[in-house]
Amino acid sequence: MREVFFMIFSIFTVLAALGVVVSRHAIFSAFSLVLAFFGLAILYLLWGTSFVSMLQILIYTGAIVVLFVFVVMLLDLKKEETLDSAKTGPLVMAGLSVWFFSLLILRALNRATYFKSTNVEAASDIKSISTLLFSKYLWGFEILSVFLLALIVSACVLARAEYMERKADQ
Amino acid sequence: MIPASVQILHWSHYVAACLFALGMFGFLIRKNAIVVLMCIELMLNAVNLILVEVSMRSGHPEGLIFVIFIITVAAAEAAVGLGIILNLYRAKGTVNIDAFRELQG
Amino acid sequence: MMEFLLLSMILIPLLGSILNGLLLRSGSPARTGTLASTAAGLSFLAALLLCWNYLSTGQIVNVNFEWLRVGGLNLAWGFRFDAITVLMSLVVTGIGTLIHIFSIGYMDEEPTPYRFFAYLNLFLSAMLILVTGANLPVMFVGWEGVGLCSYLLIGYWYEDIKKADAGMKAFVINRIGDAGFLIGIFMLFQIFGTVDFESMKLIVDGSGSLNVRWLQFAAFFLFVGAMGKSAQIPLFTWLPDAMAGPTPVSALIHAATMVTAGVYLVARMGFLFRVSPDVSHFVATIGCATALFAASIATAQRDIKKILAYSTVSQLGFMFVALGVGAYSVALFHVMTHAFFKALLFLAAGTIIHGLHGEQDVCKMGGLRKHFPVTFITTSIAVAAICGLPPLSGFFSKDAIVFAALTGPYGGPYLWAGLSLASLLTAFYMSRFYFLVFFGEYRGNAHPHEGGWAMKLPLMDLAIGSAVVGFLGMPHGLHVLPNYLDQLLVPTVPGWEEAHAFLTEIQSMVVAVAVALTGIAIAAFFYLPNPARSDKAAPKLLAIDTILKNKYWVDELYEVVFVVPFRFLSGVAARIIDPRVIDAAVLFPSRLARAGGTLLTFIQSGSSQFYLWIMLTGGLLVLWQALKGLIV
Repeated sequence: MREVFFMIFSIFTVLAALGVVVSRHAIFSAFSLVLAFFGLAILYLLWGTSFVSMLQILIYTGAIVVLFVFVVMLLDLKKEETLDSAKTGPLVMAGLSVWFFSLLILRALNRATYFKSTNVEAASDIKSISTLLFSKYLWGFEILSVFLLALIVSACVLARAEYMERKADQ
Repeated sequence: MIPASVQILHWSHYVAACLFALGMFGFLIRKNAIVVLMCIELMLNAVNLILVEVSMRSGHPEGLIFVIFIITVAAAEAAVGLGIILNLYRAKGTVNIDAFRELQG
Repeated sequence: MMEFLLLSMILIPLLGSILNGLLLRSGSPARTGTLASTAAGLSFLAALLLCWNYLSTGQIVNVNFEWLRVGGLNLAWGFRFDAITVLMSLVVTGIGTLIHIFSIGYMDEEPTPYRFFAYLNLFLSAMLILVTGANLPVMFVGWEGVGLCSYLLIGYWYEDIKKADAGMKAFVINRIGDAGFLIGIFMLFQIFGTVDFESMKLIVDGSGSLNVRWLQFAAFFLFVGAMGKSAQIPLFTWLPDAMAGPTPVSALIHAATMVTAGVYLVARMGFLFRVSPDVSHFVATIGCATALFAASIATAQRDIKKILAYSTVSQLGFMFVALGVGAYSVALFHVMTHAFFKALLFLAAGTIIHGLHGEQDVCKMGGLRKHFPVTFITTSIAVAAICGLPPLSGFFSKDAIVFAALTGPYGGPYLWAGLSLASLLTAFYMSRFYFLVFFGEYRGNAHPHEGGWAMKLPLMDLAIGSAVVGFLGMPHGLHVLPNYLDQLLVPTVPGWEEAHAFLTEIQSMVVAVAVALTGIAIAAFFYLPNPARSDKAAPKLLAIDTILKNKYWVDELYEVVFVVPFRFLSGVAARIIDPRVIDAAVLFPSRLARAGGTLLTFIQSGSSQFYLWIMLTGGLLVLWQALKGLIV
């Protein structure tokens, strides 16, 4: 049963990702992205990391992609380029180098020592994760919160740049 | 709770590699800045998947912590990136990244 | 305590120089001069205390700071206060102080006196470094320092291009000598493995296994340095031109102290010259030739300072004869007495020039004994001293040199004869100067006036010095007083045994006095009865007169032999070598870089995806390198 789920959702995710890359219009890319993230959430669930899976759904599909969709709809992107406009040479080149790149990474991963030790199950429940997060990684967590605050401010400034400019002109 | 002893799950880093490759491919050839940003998100997710696999198979929950961090940073990055793209669009009326060559040496 | 005194002696003038140069830029001559004189006076006081310490305890003061430690070279900022330094530092600071005081009066109308006094103090400091340095490099620092100050002070009135050029000339000719000095230092380091005076002396005294040929080469090159600084043939032409500087400078630097640095160097390295017979003969010959040559030129000069300048060159020649024949203490004795009477003569000349509003031609003076009474009396003493009339200082020191030329280890009758002739000429030109300036009627049209006390006091002090310092070095033959100077210097410079000669010391003295009187008599015969006709009354040996007036055309000869070919070569270098070779070599890399840059600008396309391509390529390479071992 799990094998079937895994195979279905792996293929689903990869196809959705392909959709992101090849869609003619950005809005289709955004929808494909939702699907890809959803598929990934299922894969996390299959791994038994339900907490990460929830985060994936909440943040990626819930927040980020919505942002993307908003922006795409905000902008008037009638005659945007498509994949076809790219020349064949770069296409082939990109394909080859990406293929080579992932091949290298894969072979490295296959030989990594972590993968040799099977059948060891990590504690992936919320309790143990949050214990780690608030003890060993407390500093990283706190720094990240400050970082997020800075990002909120900067995002506001960027989005309201026009307003700020007008204010500066007066 | 689904036990992770099933061998087929050990193929998930191939899935991750495919996602990463697709993301990078799109990054290289797409001209729409928004789609380029989406491709970055794809690559980040591929890394997340590998981290989850490594973490679960080796029994170190640290990988999950990093996944959480990465998700957070990715969200922030998307917000700021989109803000920048909005401003670029305001400046030139397009989000084609070939139109922005002002940093030419 | 003594170490502190030694350092203060050197550093106080430096401090004075800095204070004057930085803080008193708008000060009057009186203020800046007082500050400078105070610094010099304090330095003199320190020197006196140090001397008292040395004479009472015989203890040599050493100060060492680490300077360089490279390979086998272990160089220290070493200062040493021993017998020679006692003599030299007293002369330098004592006469230096008097001249500082004199300068307050002499420079009373200067717009920028701070510059003058700052340089003068700096000179004093450098000269003290020179005479207290415990090794050759430290001495060289002082050596270059005094050279710099000399250059700055000769060209003090730099608005006048001729004076600036004279400074340049002094500097360039000194550079030739300095090159020799440096080569000498390098060779000595190669031979001894040290450049410290005491260590070298110990090695020379202790072992007979040294290669005398190399020692002689090193000694020769050191002497080349001395030649430049002390204006010996063939590097003497800068000294007469150096008279372009203010007269106190001529007195202090170009008569009393700096130009005797060469003599000091050879005396300091006496242990080396003592075992280099060939070089010693060479030194004596050059000295004798210079003494004669310069004295003969001095007989025909009309510029009051030029007469004294050639006289200085001639007297330095005397000192080098003494060094050459191996009588080092005698040379230092003459350095001391000469410092007194020549400084006095220059200061007297300065008083006269100042009183006549810049007039320097002796033919336009005359009868000045009425207008300059103090100057007249003091100058009389100095002239008598330099002519060698007993019992003044010049008599003892010059006689000691003449006698040493006959009986010294490397001496001989020819040197004796040469020096006697030079003494005759000396007596002649000094008397000519004396009669032309002070006797007869005044032939100029200025209003002569003598300077104030700041100018008179140093004259009187120096006159007393000129009269009495000779008693410090009374010859053994007289059995009146012991030769204090010899006793002082014997541990530091090599002594000598008098060889048997056809004259005894007493006889030699009689001859010397006779020679001096003859010279004075000849001058009196030509110039005293009718100085109004001045130079027209000169010996009617017209050819010789012309030659002498033109100083043997040495400057013109150098112009043709060195300057013209050098200009030609410089022209060739400027027109051909510089643009075609050096510029091309320099510009080639820059053009290459520029071409490469142009070639590479296509990378900076501004397209972020292109940058990503490059990044991917780099990432691939790095990954491949990092994982090669893992994968294959």
